[in-house]
Amino acid sequence: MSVKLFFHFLKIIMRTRMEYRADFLLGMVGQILGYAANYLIVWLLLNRFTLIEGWAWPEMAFLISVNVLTYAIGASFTYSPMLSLEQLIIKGDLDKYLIKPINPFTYLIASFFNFGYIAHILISVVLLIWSLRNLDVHWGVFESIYFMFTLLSGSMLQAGGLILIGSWSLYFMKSQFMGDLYFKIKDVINYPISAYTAVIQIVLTWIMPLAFINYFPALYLLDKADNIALLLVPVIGPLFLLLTIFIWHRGIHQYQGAGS
Amino acid sequence: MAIIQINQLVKEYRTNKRFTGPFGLIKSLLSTEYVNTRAVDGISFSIDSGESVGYLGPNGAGKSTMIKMLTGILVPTAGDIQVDGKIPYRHRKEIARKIGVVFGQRSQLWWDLPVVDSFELHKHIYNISDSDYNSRVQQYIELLDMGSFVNKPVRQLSLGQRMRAEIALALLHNPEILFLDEPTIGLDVIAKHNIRTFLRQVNQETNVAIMLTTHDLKDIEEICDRIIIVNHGKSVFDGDVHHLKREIGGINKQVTIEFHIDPGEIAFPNALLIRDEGVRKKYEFIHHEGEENSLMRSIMSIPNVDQIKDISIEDMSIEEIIHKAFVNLNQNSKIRV
Amino acid sequence: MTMRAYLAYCGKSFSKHISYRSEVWLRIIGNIVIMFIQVSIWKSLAASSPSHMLNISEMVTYSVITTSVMNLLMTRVYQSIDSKLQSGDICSDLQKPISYPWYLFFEQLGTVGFQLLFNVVPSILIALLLFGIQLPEASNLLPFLISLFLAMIISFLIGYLVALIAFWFLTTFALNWTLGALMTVFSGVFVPIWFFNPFWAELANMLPFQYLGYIPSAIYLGKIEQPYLILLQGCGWAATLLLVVNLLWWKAIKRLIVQGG
Repeated sequence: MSVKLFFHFLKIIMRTRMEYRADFLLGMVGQILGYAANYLIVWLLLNRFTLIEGWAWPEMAFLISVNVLTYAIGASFTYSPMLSLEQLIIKGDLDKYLIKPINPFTYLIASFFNFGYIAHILISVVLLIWSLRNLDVHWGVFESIYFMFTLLSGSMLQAGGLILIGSWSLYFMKSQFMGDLYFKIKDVINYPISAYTAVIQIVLTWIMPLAFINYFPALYLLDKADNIALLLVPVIGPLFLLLTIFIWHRGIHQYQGAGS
Repeated sequence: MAIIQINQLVKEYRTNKRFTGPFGLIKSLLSTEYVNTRAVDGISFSIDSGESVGYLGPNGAGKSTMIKMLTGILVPTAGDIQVDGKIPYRHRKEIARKIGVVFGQRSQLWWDLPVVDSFELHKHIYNISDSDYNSRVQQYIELLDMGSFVNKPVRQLSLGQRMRAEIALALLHNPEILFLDEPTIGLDVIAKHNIRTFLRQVNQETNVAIMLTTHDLKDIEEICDRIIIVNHGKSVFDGDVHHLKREIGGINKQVTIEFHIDPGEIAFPNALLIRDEGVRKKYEFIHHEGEENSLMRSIMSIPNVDQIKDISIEDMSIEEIIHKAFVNLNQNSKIRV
Repeated sequence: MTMRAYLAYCGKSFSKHISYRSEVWLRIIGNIVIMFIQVSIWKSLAASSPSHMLNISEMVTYSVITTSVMNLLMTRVYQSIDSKLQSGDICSDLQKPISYPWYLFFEQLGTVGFQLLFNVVPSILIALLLFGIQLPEASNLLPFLISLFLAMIISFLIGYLVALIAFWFLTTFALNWTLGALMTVFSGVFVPIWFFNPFWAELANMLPFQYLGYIPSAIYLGKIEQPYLILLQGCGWAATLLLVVNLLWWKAIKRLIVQGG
C-alpha cells in the first residue's frame, strides 16, 4: 500500500470521527482522567515511600510515560483492527478485506486506524517532558537519537503484542478474553521489573519482551546501568513486529483453509 | 471464451469432533479427531465472458463457499479452479482487479460518509485514472438511478438504494466478472424488482459476466440466462432456465383457499388436492406453457366463489424444485447429477 | 410470585456465564497477575522501608481481598443498560410487570454469583498457595461479610447512576473511563487509604468509592476501630445514592417518553 493511499484512508476515518465530534471530545476528557489516576496512584505511593526499587517519582513518571506513549502510538495502528478481528470473522466481514488488490494486513490497519489515542499521547507527553526536566539526563546527540529509536522500537513492540491477539483469533476465533488478559499484563511494566521474581524478569525479557519498551531504555538513559547490550534495545522492536506480522499472515492462510 | 473454469472442485471444512455424554465436553476439548464436511463436492462448470449465471440452492448448499473460492478468499481442498486463466488463491491480488464482489448482507461502503466517498477510496485502491473514474461514476449514477442519493451518508439510505451503491462500487474498476452473494436478500418486492432490472441491464450494456447466488428462483428468472442448481455440495442441474422448466414440467404453484364454511369437495382439472382441512384446502396447480391465466380462471369458476375468505399463492420452493429435478432425473437421463 | 421471577432472572444470567466457560481460566489468571504485581511492589517497598511503615503479610492479604472484591462489584450494570439501549431491548424490558431496577439487580446478582464460584474462590485458593493470606479475627468476620454486601449494593447504585447519566450523554465511553479513574484511586484497590497523604485521604473518606475495596479489606484486617459505625455510614451512602438514582430515574423516564422511546 502506498503512503498516499494510507493518507487517503486517514482522511476518510477523520471525517467519520468528525461526525461524532462531541463523543470524541468527551471521550478524550475521560481517558485523560483515567490515565491521570494511574499516575496519581504511583505518586501517592512514592509520596509515602520515596523510592520503589531505588526509582524516585520523576523516574517512575518517565517509565510510565514511555509505556503509555509507545502504547498509544502502536495501538493507533493495531488496536482496532486486531481487536475487531474476532467479530469480523464471526460475521464473515473479514472476506471484504480479502477481495481487494492490496495486502489484507495493511488494508485492515489502514481502514481501522484509530485517532482515539490523542488523549493518551497528550497526557503521556506532558508527563514525559515534566519528568525529563526534573531528571538529570545528559542530552547529547547520541542520547537523543537513542531515545527516538527506543520510542519507535517500543511502539513496534506494543503494536506487535496487539497483532498477536489478532493472530490468536485467526487460529482460534475467540480472542476477547486474550485481549482482556493482555491489558492486565501490559501494566506490569509500569514498575521497574527488578521488583519481580527472577522467572518473571526472564519472561519479560526473552518471552514477552515488554521490558524492552521502557525498562531497558530507562536503565540506560537514567544512568542506572551501563551495560553495552542496552544499546541494542532499538533493534528488538522491528524484529518483534516483523515476527508478529509473519505469524499473522500464517493465520490468514489458516483462515483461508490452505492448511487442510 | 471461458472466463471461469472449474473441474471436480472440492471444499472440505474440518471441525473438531464433538462428543456427547457425561464426559463429552472434556473429550471434545482433548480429542484430536476431526469431522470433515464437504461444502462443495466435486463440482465442474465453466462460464464464458459476458454470461449471466444464477447459482441456486437451499441454505447450506455450498453457494457462498463456491463464491469464496472463485474470489480467492478460500483455498479449495481438491480440484482445478481458474478465473481469467489464473488460480484465484495464488494470484489473489491480480484476480481482485478482474472481479467485482457484492455481498448481500455485508456492506463495503463507509457507513457514516456519503456514497461518493466510498467510490473515491475505491478509485485510489484500484488506481483508476481520473477520466475513467469520472466517466464510470457518471455512467452508473445514470444506469442505477443513484443521482438522488450519492451525496447522502450511507446510513440514511434504504436497503435497496444501498444495494445499488454496492453494485456500482463493485463495477467501478471495470471488472470482467461480477460476483453477487444473495444480492436481493431482505429487500422488499419493488426494490428486488429494481435490482434485478439493473443487473440485467448492466450485464447487457457492459458485457460484464455475472454470477449470483440466491435461494430465490425469481432472481435467476429475471437476471440470468443460465442456472446451476446445487444441493448438498453437488450440482443437480446446469442449463438454461427454460430448459429447467421443461425438464421439471414447469414451476407449479401451490394455492391455499380458505372458505367461510366448508364447501365440501372441490376438484380442479389442472390441480391436485394436497391437503384438505375442510374450510382450508391446498392445491398444487400444474403449470402448462402458455396458460398463465388458467389458475385464476379455474378458481373464479368454482360455484362457491363467493364463500372464499382468503387465497394464498406460493411458488414452489427451491427444495421442491430440487426434489422434482431429482425425480425427473431418474426417468430422464438428460439431466446429470 | 414476583420474587420467583427475579430469582429466575438471576439464574438466567448465572447460566449465561456458564456457556462462556473457556474464559474462566483466563479470568483467574488475570486476577493472579494483578495480585502478583501488587504483591511484588509491596515486597519491594517492604524490603527498603522500616517495618513499622509496612507489614508485608498484611499488604498481601489486602491485595488479595481488594482484587477479589472488585470481581463482586455490580458497577457494570450500566454496560448492560447501554447495550439494551443500543439494541432497543430496553422497551420490552420496561414493559415487563416487574420493577426494572430490581430486575437489573438480580441480573447482576446472577453474574456476581458466577464470579464468586468460578473466579473469586479459585483465585483466592491459588493466592493462598502462592502468597499466603492472613485469617481475620473472629469479631471482624461479621462486619466483613456485611461490608461485602454493602460493596455490592453501593457498586450497583453507582453503576445505575452512571447508566442514568448516560441517558443525557448518550454514550458510556467517557463515563466508563471517568468511573475507572475514580475507582482506581478512591476505592483503594491498590494503595490503601492509610498510605494516602492527608489531602487525598480526606477526599477519599468523603466519597463512597472507599466502600468498594478499601473498607472491606480494612475491616478484614482489623484496621478499623469501629467497623459498625463505618458500615452505618455506608448505609447512609446507599440511601443517598438510592434517592439520587430515583430522582434521576423519573427524569430519565420523562425524557425517554419525550424522545418517543
